[in-house]
Amino acid sequence: MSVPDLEARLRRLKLAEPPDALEGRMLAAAASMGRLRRRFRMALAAMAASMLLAVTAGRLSGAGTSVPAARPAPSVPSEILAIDPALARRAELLAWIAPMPAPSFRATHDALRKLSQGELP
Amino acid sequence: MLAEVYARVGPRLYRYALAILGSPADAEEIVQDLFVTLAETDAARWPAQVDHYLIRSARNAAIRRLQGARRRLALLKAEAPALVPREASDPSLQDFAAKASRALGELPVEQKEAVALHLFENMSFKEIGEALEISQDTVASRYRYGIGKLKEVLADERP
Repeated sequence: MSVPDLEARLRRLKLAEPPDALEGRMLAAAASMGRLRRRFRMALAAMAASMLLAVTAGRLSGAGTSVPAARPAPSVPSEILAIDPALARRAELLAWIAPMPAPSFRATHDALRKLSQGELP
Repeated sequence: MLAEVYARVGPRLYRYALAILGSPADAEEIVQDLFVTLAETDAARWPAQVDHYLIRSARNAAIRRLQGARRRLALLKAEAPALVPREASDPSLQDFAAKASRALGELPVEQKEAVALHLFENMSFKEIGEALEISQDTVASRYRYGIGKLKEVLADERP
């Protein structure tokens, strides 16, 4: 049998198709990840705003000094608590240990990312 | 946009993973994981040649699965033939499909994928080379070796 003969025989076959449900499952999984990402971004923004208010309030109360006299604890948005309570508690601790002069959304996001990867105590 | 990519290349990725692994469940899992990972990345940051990127990623994922010794033993008894008759109404091809599936499954990965992508997915050697980032001569060589081995095993078979 020649190679062309074999190829012709094999071309009467085809590789099996994926099940119809695969596309649905894939899209559902991708959609879930998208929703989770959006919730986490919203929670991070809320966290940053909360921390900024807390530090600003501390600055106003201790005007003229380099260290705020009083720093109320930043509140952890419930969205973060819902996603990852352990991460939220560590983020709260971070806010007390390492106050940022002007916490930005980016700085908060990076800090939380490092926390989740165990890069910060 | 994700759905468009799936429509364009998803079934091919499944068939490709199935050709390498011989396991429909593993092939499904690889494809699903690939697209979920893609969904986690902003579309603006997807690779320019996302189809080729997905083929390479499917290959890497399938090879990782093959590396487990226990998995290799399981794959020798494939759950279902990777190859099926084009004409479902032709029962005479069922036996040949099963034997061809086994023969394809026993090829080395490089030869198996060259045969699967060229013979069954109708990709040119050039297209395969671009997707896998190897020269088309290398693809052609792997294909020739693969077809040669299939010919030895299936020479006496009648479809």
